[in-house]
Amino acid sequence: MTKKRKLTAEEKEILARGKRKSGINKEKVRKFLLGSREKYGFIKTFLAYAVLIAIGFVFMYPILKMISTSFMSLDDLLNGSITWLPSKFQTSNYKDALNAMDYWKALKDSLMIAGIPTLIQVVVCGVVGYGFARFNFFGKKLCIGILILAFVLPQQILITPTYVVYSQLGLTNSLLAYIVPALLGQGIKAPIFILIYMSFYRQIPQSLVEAASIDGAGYFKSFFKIAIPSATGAMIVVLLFSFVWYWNESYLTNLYITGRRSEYTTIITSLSKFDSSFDAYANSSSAGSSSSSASINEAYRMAGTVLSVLPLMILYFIMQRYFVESIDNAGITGE
Amino acid sequence: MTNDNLTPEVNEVTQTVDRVESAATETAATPAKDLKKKKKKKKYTVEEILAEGGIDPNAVDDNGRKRKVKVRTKSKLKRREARMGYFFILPWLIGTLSLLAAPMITTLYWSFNDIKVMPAKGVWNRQYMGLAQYKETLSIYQDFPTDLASLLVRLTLSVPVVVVFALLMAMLLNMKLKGKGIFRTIYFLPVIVVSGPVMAQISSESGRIDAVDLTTITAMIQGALPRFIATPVISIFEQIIMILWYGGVQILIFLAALQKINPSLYEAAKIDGGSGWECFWKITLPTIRPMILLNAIYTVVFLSADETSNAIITYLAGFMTTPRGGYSRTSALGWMYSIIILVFIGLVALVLMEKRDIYAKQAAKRKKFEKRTRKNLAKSQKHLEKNNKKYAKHLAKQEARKKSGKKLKGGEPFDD
Repeated sequence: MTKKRKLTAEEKEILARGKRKSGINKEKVRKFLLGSREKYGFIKTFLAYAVLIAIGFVFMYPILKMISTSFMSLDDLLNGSITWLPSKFQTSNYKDALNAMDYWKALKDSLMIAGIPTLIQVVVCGVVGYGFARFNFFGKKLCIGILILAFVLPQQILITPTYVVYSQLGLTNSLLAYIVPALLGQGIKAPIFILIYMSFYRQIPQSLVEAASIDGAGYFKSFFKIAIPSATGAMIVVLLFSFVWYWNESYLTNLYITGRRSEYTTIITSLSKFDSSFDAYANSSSAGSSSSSASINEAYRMAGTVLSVLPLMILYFIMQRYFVESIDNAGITGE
Repeated sequence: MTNDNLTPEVNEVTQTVDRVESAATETAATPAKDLKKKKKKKKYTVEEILAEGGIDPNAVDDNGRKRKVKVRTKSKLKRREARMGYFFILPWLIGTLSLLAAPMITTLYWSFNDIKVMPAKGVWNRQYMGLAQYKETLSIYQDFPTDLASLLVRLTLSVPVVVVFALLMAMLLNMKLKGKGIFRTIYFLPVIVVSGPVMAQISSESGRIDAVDLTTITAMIQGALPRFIATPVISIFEQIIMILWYGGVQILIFLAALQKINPSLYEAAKIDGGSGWECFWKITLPTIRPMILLNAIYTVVFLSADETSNAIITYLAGFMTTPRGGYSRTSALGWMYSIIILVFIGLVALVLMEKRDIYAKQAAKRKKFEKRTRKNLAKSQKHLEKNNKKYAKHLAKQEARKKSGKKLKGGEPFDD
């Protein structure tokens, strides 16, 4: 703390003026409730919190339920009076689930299977989206139509011929089955990513691009210096969505990569066969030490599910900070 | 651009027309005819309009007919831009041709043929069916029209609700509040849950995602309202929870777009006395307009492909394995359905499409005007030509009559 110094007469006067006004008056109440230029009013803040918490509760509810169930022992599960708080937190559920899922290996594989195509998609869709957003060329509308048609066509009817093509090209049973389509803009839900990028590029004021080109920026320079910095938000969104969707994709992963030769196991595929693998694990461990008599129950399943969601939550919690950072970058490019 | 290039050449056009007219004056000697000619000239005020708009003199020949010259419509810049466009979308183009085209064409081919897939023989074609396949598919899946109609109604109702809800939530999350990070993480949950195994875990437990017990609310509504109003209202209430869950992706897209808006814009608006309401309509909405279209499209696609809530997709998935269905009829159903959804998306895009730039609009208007003027010019020039010929004929006749003296009829033309 700094040393207290003597106040000058002027400062005293200011303080006194402040004190005089400190009583509750109409102006102040109004300002408090409705807010001023710098601050939100109480009513607005209160309403915002109320709505956010109410709807947030809807989203949280199943997760909370899942988490609370995951800590329950078998007795708690069977006890009808216990709905939320377990009588004691049984952390061994998680330990068993971790072992049954072979979690750390599955996590590594999942990170790879979801991460590599995601990074590729972020780049490729960004480039393709720029082509669609910025340039006019013959057949552009047709291309966008095909893009959306590919998005609309039910996957159920496309999956068989697509598998035939992939296996003819020798892509199946390896990571290539995800990497090559992602490189060519055909990854999981790639059309929506291209459309997201397109929409973000469209927000760039045309005058900015023109000014840059007058100053001698070529197409590539204006892509790297204008388009990419102003699409940071799009990149984060695409990264998150793509990662989550690749992470959660069990059917295609099973079909293309982990199906025949089980070199890879993702968290989601191991979760989908959680029951059987858990039984196998429980049997093997009970053979070793007779103490654990675990059989599959809801608590273990929930623990497994929580474990499968957790990395995504952590990823998002880290990434959402960059959301804010993108403002500053965009501020420079604004007019 | 083209206008600028052509303006110096407009003089040439007038010259050409002058030439035609001077030809007319040469033949016209009498003042009466002069007057007639002047009248015609008045029609040529089009010229002046043309001078403004500019017209390619090569497009019209001396007789005013449109010359069949291939006019280069694209400038060098445009062609270069098109080349760059192809370059940027090249990865997607290659992917579409190599990975997507074959499956798409295959299913389309299957939909017109009767296909049997045998484990041993692979795919073999029984016979060509053509559109009869589609007819048959419809006759098997008789509920398709009603299912489709209810889906389209559902889409038209829920797409605006989802988009508006997502926008509101994104704006709330974009406020400067305490615990913003936690809120944002919570609002990311739907993205994870809806696409993942959590959904299966939750719904296997209770049938569907429920957070709030709706029975008391529905009872209240049923008591307060007549039945024909109460039923849809209740169904909306039941849908609300689902709509909340389906809005996760859209919230995030809106949030990302909102954060891109330069805060100094709001500051400037506030200093100028703009209220929050005005700021929303004048700053926020125009900036995120592309996102509204994007989110609407995403919502349509998501709802139309969602297996849990969409009867058609559920039917389609099961149809594949039934003996009456099979690959070919399922493909036919899938294609029919996709085309309808595509048309629906097109309509959504038409409604929400950004209005064109005012300059682009003006340019289009000008182009149209130019075309019309050119047409008019050609027409009137043709007319002039015709008149000139007529006049020359008339003149010759008169001359002949003069020469032949006062005879009204007959007489040799050159009997002097």
